[in-house]
Amino acid sequence: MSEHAINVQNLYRYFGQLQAVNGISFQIPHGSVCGFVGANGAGKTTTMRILASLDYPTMGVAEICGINVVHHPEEVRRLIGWMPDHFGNYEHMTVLEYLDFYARAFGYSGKERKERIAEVMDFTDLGPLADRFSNKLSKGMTQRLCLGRALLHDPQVLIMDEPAAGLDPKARVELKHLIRVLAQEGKTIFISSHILSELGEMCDSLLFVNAGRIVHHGDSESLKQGTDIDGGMLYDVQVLGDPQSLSDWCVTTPDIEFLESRKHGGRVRIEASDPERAAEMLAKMIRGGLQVTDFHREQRNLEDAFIDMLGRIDRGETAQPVATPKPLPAFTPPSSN
Amino acid sequence: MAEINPASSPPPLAAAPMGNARKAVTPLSDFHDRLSPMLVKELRQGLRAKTFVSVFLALQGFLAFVLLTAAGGMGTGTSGGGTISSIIFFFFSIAALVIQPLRGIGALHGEIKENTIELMVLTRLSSWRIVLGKWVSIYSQTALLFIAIIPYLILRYFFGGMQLFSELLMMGTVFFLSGVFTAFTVGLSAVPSILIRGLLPLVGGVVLISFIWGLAARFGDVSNAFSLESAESRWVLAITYVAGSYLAWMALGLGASAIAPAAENHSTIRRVISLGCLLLVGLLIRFRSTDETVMVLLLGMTVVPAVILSLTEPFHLLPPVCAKFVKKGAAGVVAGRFLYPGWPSGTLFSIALIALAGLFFALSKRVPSDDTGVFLICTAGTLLFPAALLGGFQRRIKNRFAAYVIALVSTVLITLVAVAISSSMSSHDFLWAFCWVPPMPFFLREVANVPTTEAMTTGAFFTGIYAIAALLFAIRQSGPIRQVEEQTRQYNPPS
Repeated sequence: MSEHAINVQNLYRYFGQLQAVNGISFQIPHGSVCGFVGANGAGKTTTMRILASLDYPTMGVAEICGINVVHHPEEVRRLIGWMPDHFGNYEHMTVLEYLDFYARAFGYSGKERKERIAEVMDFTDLGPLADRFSNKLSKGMTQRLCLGRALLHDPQVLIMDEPAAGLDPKARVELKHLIRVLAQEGKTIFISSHILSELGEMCDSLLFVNAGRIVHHGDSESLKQGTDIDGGMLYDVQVLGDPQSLSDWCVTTPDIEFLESRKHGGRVRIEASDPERAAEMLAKMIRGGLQVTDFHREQRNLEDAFIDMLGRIDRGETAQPVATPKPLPAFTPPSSN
Repeated sequence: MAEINPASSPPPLAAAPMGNARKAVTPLSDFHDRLSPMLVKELRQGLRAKTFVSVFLALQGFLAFVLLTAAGGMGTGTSGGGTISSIIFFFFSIAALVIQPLRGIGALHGEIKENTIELMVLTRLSSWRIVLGKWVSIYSQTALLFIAIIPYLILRYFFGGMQLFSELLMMGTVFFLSGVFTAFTVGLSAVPSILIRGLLPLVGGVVLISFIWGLAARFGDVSNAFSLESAESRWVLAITYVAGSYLAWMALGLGASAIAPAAENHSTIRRVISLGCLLLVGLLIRFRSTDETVMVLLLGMTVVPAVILSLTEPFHLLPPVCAKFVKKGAAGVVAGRFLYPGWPSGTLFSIALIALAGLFFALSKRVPSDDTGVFLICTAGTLLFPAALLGGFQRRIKNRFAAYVIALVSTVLITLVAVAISSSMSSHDFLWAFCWVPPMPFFLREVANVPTTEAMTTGAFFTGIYAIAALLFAIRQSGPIRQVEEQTRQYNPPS
């Protein structure tokens, strides 16, 4: 078995002059849940479609369980379950008939097909909807049906493009629950969403993409705990007396940067990310005469972290470099009509 | 390479996580396992669709009414029976040749628009099976209509004057042609352009209705033709069946390649089969004395669809497609330049196919009439002209097939309008201003009585220019093709 469930190296996809995916590289280990985050048009769906063998790269390598998606699309399709961001349902077809059709299409027959459909319906709780026409389902039910379809052939990797979009809170909780159960069963899940807080709870790692490039790949905690994208740490400091004293002290002290004023204090950035350095800096503040009443690492939510990161990129500040893997043999198919 | 789980025997999934009460689901057993999944899906949907149910009931009701009226009013007799036959023929033909095929217009487009085609492509269904399933479903419903009219034909027999064999053969041929027309609409339904997908079948439908009306009015003559007493009628019927099957296969192939992922190669086999068919036609017209019109028809039906599809294929060449050619060395690469998917190699193939058809025509036993020679040159020019035209705009064209068909139809329309204006002016010199339009030399010969040599030279001159232009545009794509070939050689597939 290959080392990674998903391996993407130097992937490019151009649509004419538009660079939808611009040289991204990442790996996702087996059995992990990875969130794919980015603004609309950042290249998420294109990357996911390439991984699902529905599109092809202009250049670069994309592999599922070590199998190249361009060279062996049939093999890849047996390994993946695909949930697109939007899809229509069929008229005049019930939920049970819908799953029956896809089970037949995946090669199941006879008793085995019936058992598999029953399992999937149980898992996704679609039993009560079996006789309902699939185009009459709510968005949440439709997503459960789509997940059921994607699971029919027992894929190793699930690629889910915005599965929570348009769902009400109850349906979101249900979907999140299903994804957790699947993760516990050892499926590798690659999921994109705009609801970052939910991704943070579900995912082992997060991939942030902007303008077709990866700008961050790591766990959600590092972002939430205020790890700066340049490697420093963000702290919220409260002092007694004039908050300006904190700002003045920071100006004269190396390795600390005053970022913004807050009520009774401010937000500071301490170079280096080790806690010892933070403790040393706190001691320095007290020795310097500041009456520190509160000193804690900033707990941001993922939305703030993402917005912060995009802001830094817009301002031209350096993003955390993502290790560039050694290029593999690539290809450049012509794409004119 | 990772081990691939077979679809069978996956581990059981956990129970419903939300803890809702389970409901025992009655498993489906309405269709046998051996039936194609696509056919099962389409039949489940199609048999519930209002269109089919309406057509089926309307046809039944109308035929019952006609027969009851005839039984009560006309009594028995050859004339009355003939009228009933023509009425049955008319309504069944409208249902089978117009209404049922028109149901195919949305067959693939609906799936593409709703993003469901991709979900199907990710299963074990190939694009061919998807398209075939769509076609078989509509056609099997037409078969239900056909079966449903048989009792009326039997009843009709008792009115007398019925040519049982020829009328059954005629209905069978209508049923066969319904399959061909359905294949056309299903194939075209994958084309994004509404102009091509919708307008062409609709216009075709209107033309067909008037044609069916005309045939029903002369039902007796048509029925006689199906008695197969003359060798000519047997020959025409055989050609209809063979050519119809070939054209239906081509049309379904258009749909299959339109929905197939880029790594699937549908073009090579299509071109090879077209070439094989042309060789067969070539042998036929070389060794069998064939009517000139039949000969032209045979060549046209073999070459024209193959050329149109080859000239309009999107150009997305990928290493997996190249690999089979590159493995065979230099000979494979040369063959690939004619057989790779995409319009650049399609252009080379088309020009070769047209040249081969011309060669077969020249080698045939018959000495062609002057008009036929000019007609063939003009046809070749008409096919190549849009390709030469599109070469200049290829980066801006999103759908090459639609653009090509629009250019082709416009070319013919320009010619017809110019000929109409010229005829109203009673001066044919005007037509020379349009001699660059490929079909015009034929009309210069036919309408303006220009000498054959002059018309042929003009046609050959412009056809040659368009062929060279199309060829140059195709050759300009050699660089990207070479690049993909090189990358194919470098790639080491995983063991």
